[in-house]
Amino acid sequence: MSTNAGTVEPGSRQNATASLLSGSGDELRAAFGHLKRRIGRMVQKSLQRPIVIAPQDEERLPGAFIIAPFRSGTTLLRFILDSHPQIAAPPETFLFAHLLAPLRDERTTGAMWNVGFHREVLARALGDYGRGFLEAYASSKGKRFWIEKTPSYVEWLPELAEAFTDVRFLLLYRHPFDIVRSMMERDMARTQPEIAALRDHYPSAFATCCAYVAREHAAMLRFQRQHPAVVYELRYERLVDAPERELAAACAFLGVSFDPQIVRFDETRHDLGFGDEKINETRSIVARTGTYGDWSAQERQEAAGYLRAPLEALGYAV
Amino acid sequence: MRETWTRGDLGLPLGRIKRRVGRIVQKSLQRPIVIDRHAQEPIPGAFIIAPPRSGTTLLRLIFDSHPAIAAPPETLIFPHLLGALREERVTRAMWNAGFHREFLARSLGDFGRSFLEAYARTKQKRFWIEKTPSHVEWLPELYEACPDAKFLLLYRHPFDVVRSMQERKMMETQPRLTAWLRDHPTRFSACCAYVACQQEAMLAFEARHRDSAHAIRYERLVAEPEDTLRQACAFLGLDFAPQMVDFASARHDIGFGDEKIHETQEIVPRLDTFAGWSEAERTEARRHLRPCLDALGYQSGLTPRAAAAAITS
Repeated sequence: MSTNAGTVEPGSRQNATASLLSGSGDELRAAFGHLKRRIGRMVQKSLQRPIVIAPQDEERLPGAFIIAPFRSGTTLLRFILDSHPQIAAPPETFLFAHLLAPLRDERTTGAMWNVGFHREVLARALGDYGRGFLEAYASSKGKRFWIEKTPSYVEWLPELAEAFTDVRFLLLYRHPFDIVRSMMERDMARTQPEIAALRDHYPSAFATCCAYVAREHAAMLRFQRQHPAVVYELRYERLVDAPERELAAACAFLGVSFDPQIVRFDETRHDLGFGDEKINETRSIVARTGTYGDWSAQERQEAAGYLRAPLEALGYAV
Repeated sequence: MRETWTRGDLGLPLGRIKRRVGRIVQKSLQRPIVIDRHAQEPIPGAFIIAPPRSGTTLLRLIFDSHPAIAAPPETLIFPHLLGALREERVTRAMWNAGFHREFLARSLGDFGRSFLEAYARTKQKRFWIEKTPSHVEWLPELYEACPDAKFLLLYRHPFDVVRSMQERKMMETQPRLTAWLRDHPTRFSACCAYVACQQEAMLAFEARHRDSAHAIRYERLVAEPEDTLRQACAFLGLDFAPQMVDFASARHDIGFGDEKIHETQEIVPRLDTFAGWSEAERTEARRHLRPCLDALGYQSGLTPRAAAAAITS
């Protein structure tokens, strides 16, 4: 091994340690230099100051996320709230599943930390950036409150809460059997990527849908326990049964005045997007409850097996 | 069978059709939304593009030693952001909400750049350079998002790249690379295919975006650093700075991919590392990499050392 003073054969720590042990003058000096640099870098790294991104000066518009699995009535709720004179609820964006992905990837948060951006700064920056789209949408509608619903966000609840410290969450629950029934009708175990990803782990499409809903409701219930102050729980069944009462309470939670007009959502224009195929033909609130009435005892039993926890926690009958 | 039709029966579908047509018209008239929030003057920058083990960290430390350039450790953030452009469901959903693809792409690029600009500002420099080896897999989206950025494409003899990736067991350990193992009989073969795919993507990008791209050869960089860097700086619109060659004297922030190089005090050429390969290995590597070898002038029989000489002569 030939080493000049001050230059370590770039290769390995073993070289340095071996040199220390064998100890010829040049090698010893090189090994010490190596250790000194290594310690110096460690100190430098620990002293590195975090970079702070100044928050945008302009006032942020308040907002909320509608959180629920697919087929829970989120589009109905979006159309209703979008009918409010102060609230803009765009079609689902799917954007946050990408924007928040860096927070779920430890390598990326580690890499960003190395550059000087600590996790809190990164999370806030991602939230502020994503929010810009929703605020721009609200402003373009002349409104001052935004509501975003994308069903796949159930899986991003922890990161959403990290990225947004001042938004609210409307958790919309519906009887899990009705959800499964609706998913089966639309063949979502095959067509919806989030659900299709689970298909291989379960014996049937039916079981896949049941397991999916159980997972999503579990995530929502957990989030609700952890962040009670920013969560409002809505029930699809109450929403379709007594819309005024349920919506007045939701508006109070959001800090916007209740406008009874919003129940007649069909009188207002709404931008259209995914998940809106059926509802935009609908002119009024139509209750779709107990849709699983024709399930066999065996189907009910299988579904109950997967969904016992949410059924019990939410007080739904089997 | 129904025998009589009432007004209601006819009215319903007509109303439906009317609404449906109305909504289509409404949708087509919807105007795109534009967000304009440029708090600060943007800072220009460039991306170093190369497969892993091409010498990107060496190049980063060299550029980071330039008094006007800040080159942070790899950020890994762009692929996450650009994922939104690669998923059609997202671009269509955003279009539905009023944000057209072009705007979304520029916005994502500006946002990603804002981290690099903030970094450059804290270092009081006026140009940023970002190197994250996985960016090579995101070239089309990266260009779409950052059309004003410059792209430094770093090529190294693909056999040396493969050799180094093999040594670090990258195909087995890097989650995004393990997918390549599925389609190839051996790790070696998967690694060759991966490097071929990336270098071919770089060559295609270079051909398409001549004004934005500048090719750097690892072999030439280590043989004639000053000349190579002078040309690169000229391309970036910056003056060459002699400190660059003496990169070990400057302080650099440390990150992923820097484990080995930050012990290095000077440019050490690593050429011909594949000298110990068997003829079978060479044949297999050539099978995947012939187009790259030919396009880059690494003739099959020529060693990188000889190739470097051929390039520099």
